[in-house]
Amino acid sequence: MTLIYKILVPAILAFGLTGCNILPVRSEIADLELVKVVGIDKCEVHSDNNVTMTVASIKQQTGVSGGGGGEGQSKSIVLTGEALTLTDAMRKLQTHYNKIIFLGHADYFLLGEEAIKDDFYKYYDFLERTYEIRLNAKVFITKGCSANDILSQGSKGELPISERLDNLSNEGFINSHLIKEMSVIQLEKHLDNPYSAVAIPALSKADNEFDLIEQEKKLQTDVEVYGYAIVKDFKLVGYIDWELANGYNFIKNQADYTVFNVTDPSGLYVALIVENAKTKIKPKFYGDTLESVDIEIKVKSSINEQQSRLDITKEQITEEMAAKQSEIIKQEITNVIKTAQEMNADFLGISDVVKRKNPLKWNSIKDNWDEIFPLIKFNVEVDSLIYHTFDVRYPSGYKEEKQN
Amino acid sequence: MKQKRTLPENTENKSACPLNSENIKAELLVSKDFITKDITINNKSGTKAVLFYFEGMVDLKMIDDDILRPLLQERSITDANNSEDIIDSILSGSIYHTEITVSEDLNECISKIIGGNAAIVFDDVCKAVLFKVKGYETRSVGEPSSENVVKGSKESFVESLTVNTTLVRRRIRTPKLRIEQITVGRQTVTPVSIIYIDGLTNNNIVNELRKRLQSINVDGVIFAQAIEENIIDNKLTPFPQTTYMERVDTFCLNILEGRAGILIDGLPIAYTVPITMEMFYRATEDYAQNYLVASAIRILRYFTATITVFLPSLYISITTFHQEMIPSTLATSIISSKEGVPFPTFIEVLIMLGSFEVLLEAGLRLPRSIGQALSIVGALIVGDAAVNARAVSPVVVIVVALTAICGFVVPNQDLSNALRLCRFFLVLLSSVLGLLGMALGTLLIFIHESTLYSFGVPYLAPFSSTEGKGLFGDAVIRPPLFVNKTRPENLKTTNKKRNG
Repeated sequence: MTLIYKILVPAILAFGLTGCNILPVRSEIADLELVKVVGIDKCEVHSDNNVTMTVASIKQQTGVSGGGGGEGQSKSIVLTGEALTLTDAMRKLQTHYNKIIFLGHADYFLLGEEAIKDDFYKYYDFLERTYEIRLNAKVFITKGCSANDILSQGSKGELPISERLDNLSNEGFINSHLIKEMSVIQLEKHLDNPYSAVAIPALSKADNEFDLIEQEKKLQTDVEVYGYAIVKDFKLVGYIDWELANGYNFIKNQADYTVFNVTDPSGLYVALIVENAKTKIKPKFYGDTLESVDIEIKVKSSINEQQSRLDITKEQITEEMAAKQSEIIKQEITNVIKTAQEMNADFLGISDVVKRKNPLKWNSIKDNWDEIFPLIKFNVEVDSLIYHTFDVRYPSGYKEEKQN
Repeated sequence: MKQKRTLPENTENKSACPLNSENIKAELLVSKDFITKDITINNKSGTKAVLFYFEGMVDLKMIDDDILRPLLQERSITDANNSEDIIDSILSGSIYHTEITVSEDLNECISKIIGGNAAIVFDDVCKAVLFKVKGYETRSVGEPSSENVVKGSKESFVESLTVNTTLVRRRIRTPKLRIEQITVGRQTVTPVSIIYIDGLTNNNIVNELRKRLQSINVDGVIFAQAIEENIIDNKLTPFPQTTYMERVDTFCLNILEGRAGILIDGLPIAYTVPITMEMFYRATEDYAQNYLVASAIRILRYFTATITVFLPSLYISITTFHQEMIPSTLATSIISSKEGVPFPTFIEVLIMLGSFEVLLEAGLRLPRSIGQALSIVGALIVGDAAVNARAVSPVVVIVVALTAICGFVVPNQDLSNALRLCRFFLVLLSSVLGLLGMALGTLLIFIHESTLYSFGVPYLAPFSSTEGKGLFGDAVIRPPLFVNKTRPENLKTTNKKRNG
């Protein structure tokens, strides 16, 4: 044991002091520029290059914050580089900046629409392969513009694009549950299935006016969530917007906290929040032929708001509202299925279900899936239940005679 | 040719009868506190004898009243014809004293005089009668200085071996409690006691301990290390291989678990062997508290020990090699705090760890009143100034402070010191290889620990024991008594049942 120490410890220390290249490269954290958002585009400006990479760093406090003193000003750096490959573009970016550009903290990867139309894999492999990138980073497609547009213009305003994406991610996505995020590792799993398509969250650019206190109205480029971009065989085949996204979320079992507005007997609106939704997809075969696919959904909702002064907690009224909710959900699901079949892109994951539940029969039909999918008959059944009203008292201003 | 000079051998007073007053005087009279007194016994022949004792080591009143007065006044002595008759008369009760021995061995006689006996030497028969009349000042039994508990005994060991053995026997009253005595130290001739319970403690452990104590060949036992370093299995390790305690109840608890105890004259602490690493995470108050609370605190100790060893090296690793591991918000905070600091992170950490060790050492050496002022100057003023001057970043100060505080949670100071050394080792490795170095260092430490044994018991038992028993006996948690019915498996005690 002593011998091991006597040999090993001086050897390790000696290696460290000689500056041998076999040791891991040391880089101080203060020398890093932490990148928050990476934009990847097809290069269209210079025909010599293939790709454009834009990076936006995390807003950092600059200057020394002394004892009791105020903090320094914040800054977010945006850099753009063009090259034949993304790795080369990274290297070029590095030559223009005095700090080490570090992708280990990149939370968002924006892929430009043109790049996806060109070849998704060509731009995506960098995300999978580069060891520095976190596999839980989120991937977005930019609809109608390049990622560079969003990053370079969006970072000029009061709220840098990195923080705006954080807001969208933390509030716009999770609270409203309209669009579900897609991480690099999740995307990798989807792309491994050659029979299905994948729905990647899509962002779009919007020029909004912001009211700034003590300043004039200022036009600033903002980012909005559009819906999902549908990618099949590494090509962009289309988009689905918010409304269709709702149906998609139900089929993918990720529709909790969706809001539905239904009318009560007085014609005024009641807001229902989905607290629990369970979807079962049941493929039905006739011999080796996929005859139909049943989609059974059970939804439990709660009343979160009512505009009338009726006592809507009565069983008959809640059942009526639940039926209306079921109808809306069924319509949304039917619409998204129709869109998927028109695109001939199985982003709903039907092929996965068929493969899981009938693996032998799947083997016989998988080669013709592209021909089978647009012709599948879907039977949608929605069973809604309103089981929370939160307030068991009569609404304020309730009058019993008005009920009849 | 140069001749080697040697001291001339003392050939005087060497006769066929070694035990005589002249020989004793030749050995001891140079000491100023050595008292000799020629006495003439009031018998028919007026027998001559010499009284020897060390001033300050004996109770003079006992010598006057219990020895000298009977020698002159007791009838059975005055009627004696010669020295043999006098000795017989003394042994048959003419002198009322609890411990009277007759010796014919010069060395035994001298060592007993040094140990606080008074000796009356009869030259004509070459015999000495020894009376145990110890009467020196000892510290009274007081409260423990470092292991205080609310619900528990307030008694701690003192410097007197006799008092200490009494304290133990008052708690463990079984007749099977064995207290063996061995003398250690060529010059100090220090009595050392081995304490165990016959029929409970593994005999092999007792025999091995006895063998190791007997084989100690040192000048003296003034400090604990003279014994400690000579009875441990592996001398090339920073990890403690004996556990010391100043509380009597803790010592007795260990004896009851099946360990053998060591008490050393002149030291107010006791040792027990064999030991295992998990013992250092136990504290006395564990057994005076609710078992759930005690278990939670013990888990906290393991956690803080992990932090105190790994935190600085982990900080260096993740800020220098693996920055992607840090949450983004924390990373930006660290970057902001490091702005303007000229040193690399590992130099910063080494500076701060070094400064902390200096402060700690300086605080120990200084009187208590000045020590406080030092910690204020060192920690608050210099620390704050260093941060403001951007010599070190505030995050490093937090890391080192947290490391230091967590180190103090470990109940055993010896283990805490060993962990400090491991911390520096890991800091150096991680500054070169990052997490890989940290993992390598941790592996080396664990390999080293797993090679350690204490009296045949693996150091990492019960975690490393192959029996699979007693893993959670009293190691990670403090189990309630109704669960903890057997003694630790690794001690291989003769009597295995503890409770129930």
